[in-house]
This record gives sequence, structure tokens and C-alpha cells, in this order.
Amino acid sequence: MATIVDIIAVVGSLCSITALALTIGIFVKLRRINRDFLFQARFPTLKKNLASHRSMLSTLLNTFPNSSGEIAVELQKLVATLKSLISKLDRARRASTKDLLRRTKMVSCSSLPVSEKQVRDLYLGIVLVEEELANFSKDFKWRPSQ
Amino acid sequence: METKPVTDENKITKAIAAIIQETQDGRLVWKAADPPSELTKGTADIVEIVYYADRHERLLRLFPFKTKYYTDEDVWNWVDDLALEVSDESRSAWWRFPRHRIITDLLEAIRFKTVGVDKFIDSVLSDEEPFG
Repeated sequence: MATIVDIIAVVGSLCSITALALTIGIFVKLRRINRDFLFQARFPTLKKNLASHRSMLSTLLNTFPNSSGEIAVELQKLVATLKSLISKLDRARRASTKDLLRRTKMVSCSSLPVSEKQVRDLYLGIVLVEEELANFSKDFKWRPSQ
Repeated sequence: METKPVTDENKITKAIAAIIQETQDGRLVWKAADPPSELTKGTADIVEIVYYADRHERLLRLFPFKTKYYTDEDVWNWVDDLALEVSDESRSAWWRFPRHRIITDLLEAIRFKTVGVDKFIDSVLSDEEPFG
């Protein structure tokens, strides 16, 4: 027959397991709050930076290939903006931004000179990411707190 | 199979990006003109210049304009906006593209071409005294 000590031990173990689960839950929630806060705080600036890279690439395409040096610099800045953006996005919302980062890095790090088609593809990629983020930002305002 | 509407956002984006590319490549030639009366009469909007380009049977036109943005019944501010429109084949009716952030890039490309910035820079460089 279980003694009172055994019962206390079982209750104690159950409490420990519950506390551990709660701690993990709170940790996950805090991470989410932290990321949401960062997104809210930094999104306007990052959005502006993204628009500025897009606009600059379009301007530089007016004088391509004479502007290929400046395009290479702009692509490096774009990589930095995209990296910063990804760290503030939900995993589920990162796909297209991550894909754009991968493609930008591929062009930027290549030893071959950048082609006009590559720049145009990246330009279009930025526009599509901008649209997705604008929609995400609208949804974000209406998301219930979890 | 489900058919996507013609005004699908991505489709519009790609179409405007293609117009920008054609403009920058010189395949689409834009000309600046005074605004037609339909854009200046019977409206409070201010249009000062309209850029036109011929694309197959249709005409494209882009114009920056100022419009009144009302914050109260009689309180308003002037706001800058841009319109990109395409005509029907008879060139009498116009359809306006939805407002899109890259139309600004198109205006920049058009101005670069119509003003002839590259030719101007070349002429400045050719007039410059060679060093040493």
C-alpha cells in the first residue's frame, strides 16, 4: 500500500513535470512576443530600406552595364536588409524572403559579372516580397494575441 | 481549373515591370505632352504633363498629378499621385492600372529617357577638357 511519502513523491513529480511544461510554454511565448515586438518596431524601417534598394536597382538599370559596380554594392546592402528582415519574421512567413536572400547571395557572391536579367529577376523578387510583407503587416494588426 | 482574374496582383506587377524593362531597353518610346482636356476639366486634380507610348494597337499614358486629400469636410491637403493607363484599341477609352509602388520606378525610367540624361552626360563628358 502506498504510504503518504510515496503519494507526496508522485504529486511532487507531477508538479515538476507541469512546471517544466509551463516553463517551456512561457519560453516559446516570450520568444514569439520578442519577435513580434521586433517586427513591429523595425518593420517600417526595413520596408523603407527594401523600397530604397528596389528603386535604386531600377535607377541603375537605366545605365546598365555602366552601373554594374554600383549594382554589386546595392546587392550587398540588399543581403544585409533581407537577413535582418528574416530574423524578425515568423517561420511560416519567411519562405519568399529566404528565397530572395538565397538568389541575391548567389548573384552577389558570383565571380561572373552580374547580368541584366539577374538584376531584373531580383528587382521583381523585391517587389513580390514587398507585397507579401505589406499583406502580412495588415494581417498582423488583426491577429488575436496568443 | 480555376481561372485567376486578369487583375491578379502578381500579374499586374509583372506587366509593369515588363513596361519598365521595355522603356529602359528603348523598345518602348515615351513622349511628353500637355494633358488632354478630359484630365483637366471637371476635376479638382492638377495634371501638368502626360507621357504617352505606343504599344502595338494600344496607347499607354502615365501622368503624375496632385489630388486633394480630405481630412475633414473642408480641410484638405494636396497629395502627389501617379496614374498609369492603357487605352482600348480605338484609343478612346482608358483603363487605369491599380495603384502600385513600382509605377514610381517607371516614371523615373521615362524621365531618364525623355530628358535624354545619358546623351546629356555623354555631351558634357565630350566637351570636357582632357586632363594632362
